[in-house]
Amino acid sequence: MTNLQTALPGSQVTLEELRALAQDGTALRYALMELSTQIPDAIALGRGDPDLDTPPHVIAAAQAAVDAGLADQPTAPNGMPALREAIAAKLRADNNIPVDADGVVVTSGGQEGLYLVMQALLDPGDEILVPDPRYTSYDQAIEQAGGRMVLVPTYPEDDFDLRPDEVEKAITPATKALLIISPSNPTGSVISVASLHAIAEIAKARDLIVISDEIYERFVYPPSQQLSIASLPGMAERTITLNGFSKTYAMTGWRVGYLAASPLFARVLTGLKAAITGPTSTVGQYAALAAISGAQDAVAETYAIYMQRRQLMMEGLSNLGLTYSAPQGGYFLYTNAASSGLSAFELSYLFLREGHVLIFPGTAFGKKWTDWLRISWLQPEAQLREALTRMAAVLARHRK
Amino acid sequence: MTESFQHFVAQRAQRWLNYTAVAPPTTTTATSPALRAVVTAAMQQHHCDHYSRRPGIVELCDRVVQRLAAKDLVVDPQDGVIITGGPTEARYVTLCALATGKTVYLLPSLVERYQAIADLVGATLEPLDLAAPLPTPGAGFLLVSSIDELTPAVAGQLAAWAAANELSVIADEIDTPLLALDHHARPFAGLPGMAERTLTLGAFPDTPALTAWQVAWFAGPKGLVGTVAKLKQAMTICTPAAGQYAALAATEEVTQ
Repeated sequence: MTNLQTALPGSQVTLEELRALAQDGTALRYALMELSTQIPDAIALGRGDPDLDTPPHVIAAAQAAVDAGLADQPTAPNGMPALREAIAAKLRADNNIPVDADGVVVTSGGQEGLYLVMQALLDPGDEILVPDPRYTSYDQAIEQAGGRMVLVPTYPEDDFDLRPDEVEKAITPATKALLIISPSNPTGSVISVASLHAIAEIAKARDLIVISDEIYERFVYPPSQQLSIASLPGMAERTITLNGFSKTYAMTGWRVGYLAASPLFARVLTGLKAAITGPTSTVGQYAALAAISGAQDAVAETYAIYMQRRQLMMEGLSNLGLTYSAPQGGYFLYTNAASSGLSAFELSYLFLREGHVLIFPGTAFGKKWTDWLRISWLQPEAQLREALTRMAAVLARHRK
Repeated sequence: MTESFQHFVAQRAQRWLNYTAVAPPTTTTATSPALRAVVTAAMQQHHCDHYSRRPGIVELCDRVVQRLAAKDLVVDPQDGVIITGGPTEARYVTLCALATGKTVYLLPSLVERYQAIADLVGATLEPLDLAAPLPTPGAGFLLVSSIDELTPAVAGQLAAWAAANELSVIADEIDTPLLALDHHARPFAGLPGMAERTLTLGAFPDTPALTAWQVAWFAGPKGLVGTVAKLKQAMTICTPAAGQYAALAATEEVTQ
């Protein structure tokens, strides 16, 4: 990274230098983010950090905990009882997942939750099925546990739905688990209800554990429906549901997530958490408790904002001649840039270097996605419009 | 649930459940009103809402670098320091990223303390014999801890042994008040020839009161820091911002 940083602004960094420094998807995303931070007027449509503020009542609750000295008191490794109770109540009411507080583990963000699950589940040589494209930060968690990631293809022609027959085909005697993320990062797809039912039957028949990453669940757009696989018959005891507060409540900086599992498996995860990171920060847990227990107006407002931005970006990208699957959830547009005549890697480089717009190429989410871009809408509308204008100028200069 | 899956979970339970016996630590000290004021101001200004800079907020990284420099240890503020989500995370990511599958040499008195985490990450602990050179120089790590409890002579011997055997060093100084200017403690990495081969793990002043805020740090040469940082970021992305502001305030207080 030093070469990149010292060579900035970005005009000094060649495409090949970037390619050489970013050998894997996560490294590529980090390299591009580092570059963008050195460009004062860069518009970041790359990272998944909501641009909105944490709701005022959440901050007020955290402040109250600090003032009362409560934030100085460590909690048990699995989290504050009140927070675990509130999470369990939410999962029962909103997701129809039969879980009590003893099946909930509070984590230091969703990503830690995933790491813990991989460490707890996988032995060297175990295979885990992961839809392709994927959020590549899963990779290191799987590798560190000695597991082997087996990619399950998804297809743009059916909006990246996870096909049950593709899941079935990927299963071998070494398959231990299936990881699903719905709504998806990076594609914005939501696994259809029919597919999810079929996948649940496969999991039961083939004795698979399912890890269901539902971090974007509150942002699902009609006519798609959010369905938690743990709510289906016979699935709660073999599913680990992963969620958190970062995306729903614009709380990425507080680092609070959670896992829901069978009580015994939750105890296993708790033991691992105690050994690896210890309890989640107490002040963050008080903030999370206020978020999940308090008024949900801010979530509804965020949803409305995202709906508007989604529409704006879809229209803007269409005007640029780029194609995409309409996002069914989350806040990313997975966009096909083949019409530009450039690879997505080249295009994202040019967007950043010349247009000062940060967008991640699809190769940051899987090697075969050379024509694709992941574009987030986590900027105010004026910034999104400006980004589209700059992208149009870059495309006008370089389109082949 | 099928019988085989039940069996699987039960096996896992045997492996991990002993850790759940860890009771939540209790603190007898509280953060100061001044520290709380700093944190609440940061919250009100929305400085805690979003992912922090991945290595840590600039002011806090700079503060660690300055304090180490005051003890004759030079660390690059750009690539040389990472703020972690507490001491447990700092120890885990360091040993997991650096020592998995390797031999870790340490004083015999430290073996019991590190056995559990060594088992967790798959490292082999080997009580060191300062009189015996390693058969394969450069293979493994030297782990030192609680430096201020060592005599200067022993610390010097450990440093010389690490250099002679071309080993990198993990200096777990979390229980040593390295950043407190009024404390005599000096980092192991400050010994001659150690800076370029030592990754130092540390905490912040007023550590007992900061336990629940989950914040610590590691620092050293770019290569070692980068390897550990990659795992830390894969695990937790970055450290909670509120805790970082608390740590910044805690280090501020000990200058006054």
